[in-house]
Amino acid sequence: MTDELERSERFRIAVTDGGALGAAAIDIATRTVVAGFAHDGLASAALLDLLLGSVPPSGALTWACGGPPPSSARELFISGAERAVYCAVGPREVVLLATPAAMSVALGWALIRGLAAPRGAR
Amino acid sequence: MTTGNTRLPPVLVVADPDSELRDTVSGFMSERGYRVERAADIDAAAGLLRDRKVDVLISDLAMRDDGGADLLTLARVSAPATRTIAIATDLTPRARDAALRLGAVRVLAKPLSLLELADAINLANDCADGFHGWMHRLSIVDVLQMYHHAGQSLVLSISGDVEGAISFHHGELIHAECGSQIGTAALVELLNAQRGRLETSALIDSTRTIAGPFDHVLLDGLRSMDEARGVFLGRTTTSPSLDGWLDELNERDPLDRKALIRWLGDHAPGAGVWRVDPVTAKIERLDVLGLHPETELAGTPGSLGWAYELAELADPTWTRVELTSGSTAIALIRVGGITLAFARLVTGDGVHRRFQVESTQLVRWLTGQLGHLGGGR
Repeated sequence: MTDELERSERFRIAVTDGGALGAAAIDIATRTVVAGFAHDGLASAALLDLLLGSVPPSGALTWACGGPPPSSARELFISGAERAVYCAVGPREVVLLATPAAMSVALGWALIRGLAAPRGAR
Repeated sequence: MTTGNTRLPPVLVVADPDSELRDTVSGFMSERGYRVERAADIDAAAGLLRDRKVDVLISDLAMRDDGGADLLTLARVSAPATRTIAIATDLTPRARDAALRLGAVRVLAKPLSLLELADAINLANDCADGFHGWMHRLSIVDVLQMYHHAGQSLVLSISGDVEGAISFHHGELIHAECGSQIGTAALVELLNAQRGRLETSALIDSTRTIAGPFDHVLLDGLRSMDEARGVFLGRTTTSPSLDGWLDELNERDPLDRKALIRWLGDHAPGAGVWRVDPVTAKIERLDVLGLHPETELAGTPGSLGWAYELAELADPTWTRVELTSGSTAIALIRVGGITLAFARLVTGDGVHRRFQVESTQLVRWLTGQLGHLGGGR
């Protein structure tokens, strides 16, 4: 099994066995999915642009805090009515995971950190 | 309705026999948005004042007409709405006093500093409405409240016991500086001053180092002064005045602030908590109001707005967001129509995980407190 297939299999297992809705690793430079499972609609291009800093935040609250912060994002978690989204930003790729809103947040973090960890660290 | 795009530039007349000075000031102020007219003698200046609306007049005190009247006197009669700045070589105290009595907003001695002159011109331009002049026996708190209630945007400079400045934007305190201190710490230093001189100038730079509604910021500053003077006996005791203030806020606020502050002291010492109004972009720090002084974050975390924008973009139904960037972790929590930000510095994985646990616990606590109010938005 190639590395890519092995990695996509890990994403599939995380989704099906972990109870998630979908997961993907996206190359930051090309914005292509390098591994994933059930990843359609996981995150919009606009969300990735704002998360990864290619479009800086510019809303009134941001300016009320003194403008866009200089540091880059490391992790993001958003919980809504239907689902929760977890993002882990690495040097070359961003890993995304969607779970049902009711799923344990601790489990969600454990899943995405496992998917985002370097190969030797798993 | 805003008229920002169609507003005419303010008209400035530079009346001075020195052509080099006229040209230098004209070039400098034209770059700063003024329409500048030059007058080499008193007749030319009087003609400009008569023929058009002049916002600010700079006049050399040596310029006089055949009858000996100076330009300030003529301007006061022919163009009373024009604000004046007097300049003079070898300025004597008597000449300065006379110019101020003739209504000059500032009196400056030659050779001029262009930056000092620009500050004086901006102040004079800013004096189009209202009064200016000398007052005494005012306390700093009185003056702060006066400008707050008037909704003014300006800078209040303080000299005397301590030196510093406090900036207002639409009546809200946005910045304070005093020595090496900025923000609330500087405000506290300045509030301690008992005597000195106050001077206002136009707000040019709207740097924000203070967040939150005026009343809360001021109360916060006064509370810090009380603490420094030993009025507070310990971390778990609030003053009667603070309790009264919090009780008053609780009467109109569904969020029980005293209970929140106690919860933070017990469960998340060192973290900061803000109340956020995304509609008005107002941010009010809550944790420093009472029992929770051990805060790591000195100011509002800059990623607060970023986290909000990410949440709105990803899922408008969001109720909780956590964003870690650099060494700051911030959670936005929306319960019962109230949005709170919770943040701490994360210096390692252990602290980061602790933050996430605290955030989860805070969501549960807030849901218990405010969940009866209905949906997140």
